[in-house]
Amino acid sequence: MKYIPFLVLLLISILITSAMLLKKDDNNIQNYIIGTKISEFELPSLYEKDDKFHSKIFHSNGWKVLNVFASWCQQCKSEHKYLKKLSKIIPLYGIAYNDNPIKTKRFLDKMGNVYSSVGIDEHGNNAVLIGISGIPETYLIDGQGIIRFKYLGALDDKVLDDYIIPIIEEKKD
Amino acid sequence: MIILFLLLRRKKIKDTLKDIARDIRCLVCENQSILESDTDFAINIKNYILESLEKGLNRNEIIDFLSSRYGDFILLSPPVSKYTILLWVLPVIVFLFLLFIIINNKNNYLTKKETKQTNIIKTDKKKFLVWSFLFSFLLVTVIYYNIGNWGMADYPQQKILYLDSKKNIDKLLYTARSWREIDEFESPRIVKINQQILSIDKNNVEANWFMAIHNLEIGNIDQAYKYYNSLINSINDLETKKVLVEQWKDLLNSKK
Repeated sequence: MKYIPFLVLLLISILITSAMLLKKDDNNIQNYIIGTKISEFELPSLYEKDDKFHSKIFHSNGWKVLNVFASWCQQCKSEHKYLKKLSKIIPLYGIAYNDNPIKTKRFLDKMGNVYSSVGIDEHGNNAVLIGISGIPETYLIDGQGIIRFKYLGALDDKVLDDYIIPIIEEKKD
Repeated sequence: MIILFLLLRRKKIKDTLKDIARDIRCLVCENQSILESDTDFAINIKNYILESLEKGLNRNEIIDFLSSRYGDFILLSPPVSKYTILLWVLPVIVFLFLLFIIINNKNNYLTKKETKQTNIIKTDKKKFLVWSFLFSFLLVTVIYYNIGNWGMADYPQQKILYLDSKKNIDKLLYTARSWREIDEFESPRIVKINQQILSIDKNNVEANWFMAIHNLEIGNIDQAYKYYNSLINSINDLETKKVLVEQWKDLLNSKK
């Protein structure tokens, strides 16, 4: 009788620890947003002065990848080579978040432009509509504008091989 | 009359904004509400809430949109669903369990002690039951409330102090410096903090120098010169003045 509270505490702690150890989910994969439609937004475009970067482009012509980056973000540099890899398979679209256009241009000149088109969200006004919390972020969007995958953080080989490339190849079949 | 009406409306919107912001978690800082936070993320969300309140959306619509974009994790108090039912039922279970233990121990205690003063013991038993009930209820509430509010502090008050006192310039400068080690390019947060320093102390050398270089890089030459001039005017030492002027010339040449 005396030991019951201790036994219960032990049981609870074992349960919690095992749950923590057995957890395999990657925290950076954002499941809740999968299956929702991308909201409508309109941003100024970096390279085409008269054209706008409109969310319409995600509603037609096959699957696309949307990558959110900035020149001041270190992780965006480290994921750049993986974006290059990805741009050979699928068209990439970029959004420069909270960044000065001149600095963005300099950043892309230095690293090499991998995007088909880049939109500028200079003051982060559209961040909530899109669902940006911290950059870099990568969205995989299908031909109807529905988000099929979202990754928070810098891309690497594991994310590409385990998630993004299989999803893209699956839709080709 | 119209102005009064507008002012009242403005105040009402601000109050609702605070009310909603208190319940939204800042995903970047973890376990802080966006009301207490000043990160880019929190500011974006607060702006969004303000805009949609002005459009006429109500609290539920705003919260629904935010949780569809960022998941239920963005709400500081989780909604009741089949995944969170354990969270809501657990305090009741713990409470009943504690009560069970206390009553059990009381019986043991009575049998071991002398049974001569039975009258006193009877009244004691009643008293004890009431007290144990209250005590365990209090314990569970306090523990649960504290777990929910872990690490929440009253930040807005602190922030006012932070902005007002000139003593904290060193602190701000230190943060700006340490962030510059992390971010290679001048990031928005560093620019913001330097502007904050200048709003307290117009003649701060380091902040003026930073803002001058920053504006030069962006291409705002007029602004850059403005900061540069106020920097040069605030320095009395001739030697440092010379060094800065030369450095400025080098920077201008490298831009051309």
